[in-house]
Parts: sequence; structure tokens; C-alpha cells
Amino acid sequence: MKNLKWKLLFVVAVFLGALYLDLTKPINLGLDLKGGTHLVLQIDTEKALEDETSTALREIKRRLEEENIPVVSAVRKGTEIDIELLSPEYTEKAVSLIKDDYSQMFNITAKGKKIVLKMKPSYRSKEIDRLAEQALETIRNRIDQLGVAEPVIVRNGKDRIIVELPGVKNPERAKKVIGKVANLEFKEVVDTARTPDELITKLGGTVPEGATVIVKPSPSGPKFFIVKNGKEEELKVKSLEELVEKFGGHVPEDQQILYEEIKNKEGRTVGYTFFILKREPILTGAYLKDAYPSQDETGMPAVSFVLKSEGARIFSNYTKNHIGTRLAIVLDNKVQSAPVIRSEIGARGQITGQFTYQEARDLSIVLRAGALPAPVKIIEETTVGPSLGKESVEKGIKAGIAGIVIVMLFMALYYKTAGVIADLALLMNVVLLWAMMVVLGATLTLPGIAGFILTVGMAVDANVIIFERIREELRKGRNLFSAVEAGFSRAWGTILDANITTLIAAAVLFQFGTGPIKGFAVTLSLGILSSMFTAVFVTKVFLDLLVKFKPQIFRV
Amino acid sequence: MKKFDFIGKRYWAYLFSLTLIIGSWVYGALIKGPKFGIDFTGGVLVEVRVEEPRINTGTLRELFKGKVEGVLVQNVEGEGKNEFMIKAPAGKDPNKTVEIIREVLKEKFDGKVEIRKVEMIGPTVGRELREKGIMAIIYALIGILIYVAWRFEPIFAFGAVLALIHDALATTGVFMSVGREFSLPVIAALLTVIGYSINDTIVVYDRIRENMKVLLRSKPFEEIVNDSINQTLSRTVITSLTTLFVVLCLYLFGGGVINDFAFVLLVGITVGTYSSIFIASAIVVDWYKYVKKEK
Repeated sequence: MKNLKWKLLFVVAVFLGALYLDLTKPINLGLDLKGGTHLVLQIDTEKALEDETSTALREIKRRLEEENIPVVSAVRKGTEIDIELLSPEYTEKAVSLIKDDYSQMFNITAKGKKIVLKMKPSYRSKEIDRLAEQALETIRNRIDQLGVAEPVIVRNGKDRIIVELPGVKNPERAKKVIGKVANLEFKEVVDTARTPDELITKLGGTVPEGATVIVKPSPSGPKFFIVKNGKEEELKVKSLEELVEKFGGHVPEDQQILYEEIKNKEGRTVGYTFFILKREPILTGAYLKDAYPSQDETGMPAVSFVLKSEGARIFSNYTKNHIGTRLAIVLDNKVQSAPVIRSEIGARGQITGQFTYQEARDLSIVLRAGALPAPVKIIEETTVGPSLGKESVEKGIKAGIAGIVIVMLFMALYYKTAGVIADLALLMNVVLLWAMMVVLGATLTLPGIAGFILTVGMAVDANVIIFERIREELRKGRNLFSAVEAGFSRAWGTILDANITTLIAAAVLFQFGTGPIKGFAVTLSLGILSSMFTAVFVTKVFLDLLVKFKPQIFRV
Repeated sequence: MKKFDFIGKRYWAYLFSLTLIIGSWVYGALIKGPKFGIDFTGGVLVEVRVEEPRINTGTLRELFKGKVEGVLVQNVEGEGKNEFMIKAPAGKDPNKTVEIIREVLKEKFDGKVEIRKVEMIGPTVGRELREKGIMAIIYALIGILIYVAWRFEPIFAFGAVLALIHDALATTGVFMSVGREFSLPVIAALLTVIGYSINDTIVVYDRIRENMKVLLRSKPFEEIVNDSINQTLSRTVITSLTTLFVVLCLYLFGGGVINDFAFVLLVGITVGTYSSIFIASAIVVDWYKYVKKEK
């Protein structure tokens, strides 16, 4: 019986330890209970890789031209480059030239006068990883600047990022700050145009006699229509360059067309100004040291910036030599403004546009935090208001207490003293499960509460199996002591089987579930483990004590 | 103790089960059509509480007319009259839809509106979750099958898995028939049912095996099985009962998401208990007879 004393001591120690943890340490609440915003971001790595391929293509064309290798065509298809030379005699030279710079990035194959560059899978996956890490870092910086307490920012899979913002008040603003690419560039203006017709003409194209091309604003950018004899027809073009080429115009390789939005007083876009710009930027946001909201001469909100010393040197050099010309300030491929350079500009400058004060402030934040290496898209959002979370907790507690009380009453009425012992074990299970969650840092979610309550109901299953067995053994005429022993030993295998199958289901759930559902799987699994301890071990200790010292009050 | 002849009446049970499954699937899946929540279709869901009298679903719908395509406004069931659910399909840019809904609400009911919940699931995520959900159920079934096959002789494993599929089908059929929406918590509940409902079956099978060791020579197999079901009957019923108590509390007090979850468990556990008494062992009997005849 010394053994039993130690077991009892162990049970009491576990109980007190768990109770201590319950009372002193807070449990992690999921966003669905404490309120906040959960976002899943998809990084458009394909876009970034295509851009890299485009840059490579331009560079390769320039190199081939330098070496006087005649090229018939060189085009990009996704992340692949197809080059056709004038004749096969140049192939060898061209390939070795390309290999010098791009053997890391592409698998290069040549056949006759054709050369195909395919992006290497190893390069691709390394690059995707780099992009994702960089995006993660940038987003972390931005969220820090937003001042959200205890945010969670983690990678999910190879090209996704999960952001959790507890208690954020304005989720729309947070989404905008997180999702903005914020690629700032300063570019030389070659020419401007007020209408599509003017743009096409300036680039050597011609609009058919009697027709005009007009532009209309839409949420996704400008839409173009050709108007002839009072009939409008939409022109499906992916870029402004394509529009110009449709009418026989040509944009030089080193130039591009971007637009500036013209806004009315309400901030709605009502028209566009088109800019023909040098593709290569003079400076980018990478040279920025600081950015902060300010006001322009007319008192409108603006963003002032300070350049790093190297940037300041490049900038003052450029502006000194280009006084009187226009400089375009481009943000995410949209021209913000294009001021005329009046004097040499050093480290300090200002971006004006048609900002609201809030926009100027948020733009400062994203510029300070740096640009995202690739566009990101928010593919999932869950925002739970604080009052809903609180109500969910209250409802969960209500359901839990009701459930526990009913089960306890039932057990006590149906199994008498043995039932009361099962009730004690049940209460201990609640205390223990909570403590396990606290210790493991598991997160309690709304489905998790349901899992918690469910394990309460399931925990007594084990007791029911044991008690029914004891009853049976007693009916067979065994004495109390051996009936209890037999009941436990015979029930054990069944209990184990039953719990393992539930654990298998919980494990699958954990694998496939997201946030709240994972919480359910964790709570359910822990609940099963703790109930095996309380419903079998703890109950056995108490029953043994009862049988030993007060067998006369034992009823089952 | 009174003894029930479960095995003798097993063909009635088969008939009942087949009627239940086929009937609920024909009605739920074919006539009514299954409903999928935005977890699986992608889309936007906004829950609001408006502190203003004389606001109903009609006035709210009018508010979004022309601004949000395919908008749907419903009362949140079981809550106060001023709580609404605004739903919209994912479309091209679900983020924009969310933004517009937030702006319109703020503009119209500034200070008097509480946005309680916003859920936005992009269409690709919806598709992914749908595939993952189906795979999860299949994996769970396979996992349990392997475990049962390893623990029991093949004839038992066959019966257990058939009973399990029976439970999953019947629960899903009933769920669809009452017009509830599939969501992630519902899949979680289905998996729990799969994991849990086999418990009762295992209890019965354990007893059959135990009885077979001592009785196989003196009694026909059918009788052993029927005895085993009777011996474990109170266990089977009571274990399910205690779980049903708490699930019922969840169903009544849990609200919203938990309600759907609890409903699946309520149906699933009931069906599971029924099948472990009437179906699971009966299949073993028929399978046993079939195998004997083959030999």
C-alpha cells in the first residue's frame, strides 16, 4: 500500500502544479477571440522573375549589338527568352557571350540560328526564397512603423506570408500600407502628351483619318476607345506601348510610357497625362534615408525625403546638368509629379501629388520601410471586432459550464460514488488541459473552445467503459477488489483504441487546418492525452483508496 | 437482462440506412443542392450591427445596389434584429469589395455601425481549401483503416470502415438536407465524427473477439455477435450520451460558427451510435458467412 500513497501524492502534486499554472500564467488567445486582423499575402514572384528576365533580355540585346551580331528577333515568353540570329555562323559567339553573364540564371540551348534561354529551376527557387525573405523583412518594417502591438509576421509555404495584427483599429489602412509595392523612381522625361492621339503621333504612329482615340478612367487604370463616325469601340491593350504600336508607332528600347492621374476635388480620377520617359531611373527609393509628411508651397499635403549621401551626389550631379528639363517622380509605375528642374538639388526633395494628409503619412511610412521586391496580393482576410471576440468567449464559457455540470450530475446519479470519483477526475482534466495549453504556448481559438468542451464529454467515456465493466464483473459474483482490478485491466485496451482513432483524425486536422481549426486539433489532442491520464490513472488511484479504506460506501 | 435481437433484424437496419443515405443525398445534394460557404467558394462576408431603428435587409441591400455586384444581405440568425450578414462573391478584386462595403457602411451610419467580422477569401484560396478538405477526409479514413486493419482481423476492419463511411455519408446527407453551409469548422466536425464514431464500434468488436475465444465452439457466430452487442449496449449508449450532453450545450449556447460545428457532431454521434449497434457488427456477420460459403 506504500505504492498507493506515492501515487496519491503524485496526483495531488500534478493537480496543484497545474492549478498554479492556470492561475498565474495567461493563455494565448487566437485572433478570433481577442479581435484583430489576419491576412494571408501572396507574393507575385512570377511577376518579379518576368521583370528580371526582361531586364536580362534588354541587356543581352545591347551586348549582341555591341559585338555586331545581327539579331532577327529576341522575345520573352514568361521566364524564357527566344533569340533568332540572322545566320548560324554567329551562334557560337552569341552563346559564349550570353554564357559569360547568364549561365547562373538560364539553361542555354542553341540549335541552328536559334538560341533558347530557360530559367534554371535552382535559380528560380533560390530567387523566390530571396524575394519572400525580403518581402517579409519589408512588411515587418512597415508594421513596426504602424505601431501595432505584438504582430505576428511569418512565411507560409514558399511564396506566402501570414500577418496577424491583434486589435488593429483600421484594417483598411493596414492593408494598404502592407500591400503597397512602393517602388520609387526618378526618371528623365523625354516628352509628354495630353491625349492618346498626341501620344501616338509623337511616337511616329498615325490614327486613321476621321477617327480619334479617347481614354476613360476606370478603377483598374485607363481604358482606351477608338471613336469613328460616332461609334465607340474598346481597344484591348495591355500597356501603353502596345497601344502606340497598334497604330504603327514605336517606343525606343530604352524608353517607356507611364501616366499621371488627374484628379478632381473629391479625389476621383478624371483624366490622364502621358509621359514618355527614359527607362533607366536616375535614382530609386533604395537611396532614400528618410521620408516624412510635409506640405508643399500651396499648403497641400506632400512627402519630403532625404537622400543618403551617395544618392545626394548622383542627384546633384544630374540636376546641375539638366536645369530647365523635367524630372518625373514615379511611384509604382505611376507618375506622381514631373516638376521642372530649376536649380541643383542635393539631399532633400519633396514629392507632391494630390495626396490627402493620411496618404502622405502612409506614403512616408512605406518609403521609409523600403519597397517590396515584388507585388503582393492579399488573398485572405479575417477581421474580428473586439466585441464579437468577447461574446464568443462568453458563449463558450457558458456552453462549457453547462456541459460540465450536466455530465457531472449524470455521472454522479448513474454511477453513484464511482461517478463522483469520475467527476473529480473530470475537474482535474479541465485544470490539467488548461495548464498543458499554457505550458506549450498553444493558442485557444473559438473552435478550440469547442474542442475543449468536447474532450470533457469524451473524457468520461473511459470511465463509463471501466465502470460498466466493473458492474459486469460484480454481477458475475466477483468481490469488490478483484472486480475493480478486472474492470480496469480489461477496459484499458478498448480505451486506447478509441483514443488513438480520435488522435488520428486530430492529426489529419492539424495538418490541413488553418489558424482556428489548428487550434481545435491541438486542443482535442491535448484533451485526449490529459483525459487518458485523469480518467484512467487518477480514477484508479481514487477507486483503490475507496475500496481499501471505505468499501462500505462504494456504489457503482 | 433483456436481450434484443439486433442481428436477426439486421436487414431492416440495412434498409433503414440505405433509405437514410440515399434519401438525404437525393434530397440534399440533388434537389436542394449543397451549399458551400466562402471558405470553399471564395468571397466576402461582413457581419455588422447597426444601432439604428427601422433598418432591415431591404434598406441595406438598397445601399449596396450598383456598388457591390451580387450582394446578399441576411439577418444573422438567432441574434438581435439589428445584426446583418452581407455577402458578396469574390469577383475580380475581393479586397476592393471589402473596402467599398466598409466605406459605404461608415458613410451611411457613421458611429452607429459596428463591423463585427470581415472575412475575405480569394478564389484560389477557396479552391485550395476545397481540395484540402476532401483530401483531409480521405486521409483520415485511410489512417483509421490502417489502424483498424492492424489491430483487428480483416473481417472486422472491413465492417468498421464500412460503418465509418456510412456515418460520414449519412451525416453529410442530413447536413445538406437541412440546408446548412459547408465551412472549415464543418469539415473539422466531420473529421471528429470519423475519429469518434469508430470508438463505439471498437468497443463492440473488442467484446466479440473476447467472446469468440471462449464461445466459438459452443455457439453460432451470429449469436456470439448478438450477445456481444447486448453486453456492451449500455456502454455504447451511455458513452455517446455523455458526449451528446456537451455537444447539445455547444449547440444551444455556442452561437454562430460553433452551432454548425455542433450540429454535425450531434447528427454524427447519433448516427455513429446507431451504426455501431445495428450496422457495424451485422456487416461482420454477413461477411463472415460469405467467406465461409466461399470456402
